[in-house]
Amino acid sequence: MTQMHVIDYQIFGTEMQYVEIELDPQEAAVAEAGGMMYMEDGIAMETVFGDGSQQKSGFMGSLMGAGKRLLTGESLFMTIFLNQGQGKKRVAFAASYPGKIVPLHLQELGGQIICQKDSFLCAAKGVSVGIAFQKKLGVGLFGGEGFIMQKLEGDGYAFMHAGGTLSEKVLAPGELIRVDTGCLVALQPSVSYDIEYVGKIKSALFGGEGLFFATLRGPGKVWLQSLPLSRLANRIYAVMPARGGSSEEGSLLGGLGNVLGGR
Amino acid sequence: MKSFSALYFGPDLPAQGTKITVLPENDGLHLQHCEISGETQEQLVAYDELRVSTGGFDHDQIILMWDKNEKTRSLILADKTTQDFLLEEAPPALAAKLAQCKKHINGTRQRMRAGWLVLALFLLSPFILLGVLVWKSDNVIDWAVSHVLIEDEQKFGDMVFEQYRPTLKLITQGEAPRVIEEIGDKLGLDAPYKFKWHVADNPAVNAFAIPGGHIVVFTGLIKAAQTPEEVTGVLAHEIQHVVQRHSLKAMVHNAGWRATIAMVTGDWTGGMLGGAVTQLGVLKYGRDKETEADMKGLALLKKIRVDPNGMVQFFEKLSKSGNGAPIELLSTHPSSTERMTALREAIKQQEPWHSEPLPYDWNAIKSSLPTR
Repeated sequence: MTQMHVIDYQIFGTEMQYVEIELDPQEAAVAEAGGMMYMEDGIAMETVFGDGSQQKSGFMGSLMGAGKRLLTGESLFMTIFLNQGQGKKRVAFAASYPGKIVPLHLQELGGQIICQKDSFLCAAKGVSVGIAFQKKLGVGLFGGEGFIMQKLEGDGYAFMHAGGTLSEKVLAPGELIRVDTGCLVALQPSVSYDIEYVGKIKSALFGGEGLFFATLRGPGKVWLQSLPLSRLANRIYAVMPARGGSSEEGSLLGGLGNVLGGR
Repeated sequence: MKSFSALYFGPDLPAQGTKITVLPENDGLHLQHCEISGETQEQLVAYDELRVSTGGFDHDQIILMWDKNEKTRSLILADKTTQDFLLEEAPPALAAKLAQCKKHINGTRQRMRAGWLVLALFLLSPFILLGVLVWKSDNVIDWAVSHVLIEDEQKFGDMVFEQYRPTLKLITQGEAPRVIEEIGDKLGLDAPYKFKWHVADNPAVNAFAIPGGHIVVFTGLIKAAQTPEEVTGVLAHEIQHVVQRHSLKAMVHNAGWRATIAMVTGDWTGGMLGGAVTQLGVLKYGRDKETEADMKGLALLKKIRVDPNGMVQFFEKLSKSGNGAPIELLSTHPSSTERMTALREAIKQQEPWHSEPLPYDWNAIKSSLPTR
């Protein structure tokens, strides 16, 4: 029934995870260039232009696919890991920042998932990694995910990666949740994704949540992350000693501590 | 009524929705073969219970929502053909509710098309810009050239000629250069340029003009001509290339492309001026410029009272003959019967003028040229 390569997987680790995929002979997985952690002998690595999902679409097809990938700001190439050996072989892909790896069985999810760009880690060969344009100007500008998101299509497994702890929510028809912009990782295409002004100027300025919430209205599944990478990066950047941040932890003296520390 | 398929969502249904068949009847929507907790049942949803909205990631899906047994359920129509079917053929009770939705969906589709158009324009803008530049290059060059002073053009022409001179076997002694200069000076008497005439030993039937007033005539052309009138016609034509600044424009054009290509490829070693100079012998002006030179050259002939038929004859003779000698005049001057006809027409339309035969013995001039 399914055209995809069926892959078995196991996720290791708690906060800094990696996923190990078991490939039967002649089975293959695709991954973002640079995502591989290790692979067993017998697995051949091949770099392809585009996402490798359409093998027979010819040059223009792969050029279009690659062009779309360029728009999402990703590498033009993807890597295919093919088990050419005898027996089952394993290949592992690691997340590049603290967070969780989410396995998505696309067939069970209706065949299509829209996710934050950069969140794709790897997938069974045959899953197409395309782009989904945000067509609402306001959502594109203030929704926290930009105008371009990734669209995963197919019926096999795809692995997505997001920061912090993942929350998977099922929204009933008409059910609405407001989400801090940037915390959205993925959603089913049946979910309406919009923005909403926080409501009061005081909240907008001092509420610390920015001017807009992202609103998600059901029906459908959504995945939320607790710690977007950009937020983590901001915090790290702010305390970098080179930027004037303190290298000591939690000193009440703050700036005075620096003076006393001889700096 | 025809049925359509839609995705059915509810709190007790799978999150990705269940595909079901819906039959719109007059009393409401009949949901067929929908499986809830394992059992197949048919449901009827009355139209007045329905709430219609649009949503989904692309905001282009139709959502039909209703409450039953304190549970909210919905049908989602994502497929465009299904949407069109429902929008066009829904029973009146539903159509009234869909009216707002229809407007919204159409608006979304239009915005989407506009968005794609903007994106395509944005991505293609470098090419479009380049295209406009190529298309308007003549106007740009005309504007640029109109700001060049004649003195500067002459200095530039002298420089170009000096670079080009070593490749020419110039003939300075004898009858031919003297006669060419004499005819030329007569033709260029009222022109703002001071023409400098040169005869070069080259079997090609050709003559060309350098910006600023240097005009080189090849011995091949002198030998191919029967009468002085024929040569005078060609000289009048070449003078117009200088006066109308065709050669300057062509060189600017070439240099512009050279600069563009050099900038794109990052290869400046070719030397822009040198490249332009070697191209000079084969500068092409385009048909409209040739015709302009023909017509204004004709007027010039009229002014100095030279028979214009020589000019026509010579061009005609060249286009007919195929006698070995390379006729570059024709390859660089795209000759066509249309041009000949236009020239003849122009002669016919003007009042015939009294022409005086030029006092030169052309055969003697030809025999004064070095033979090979």
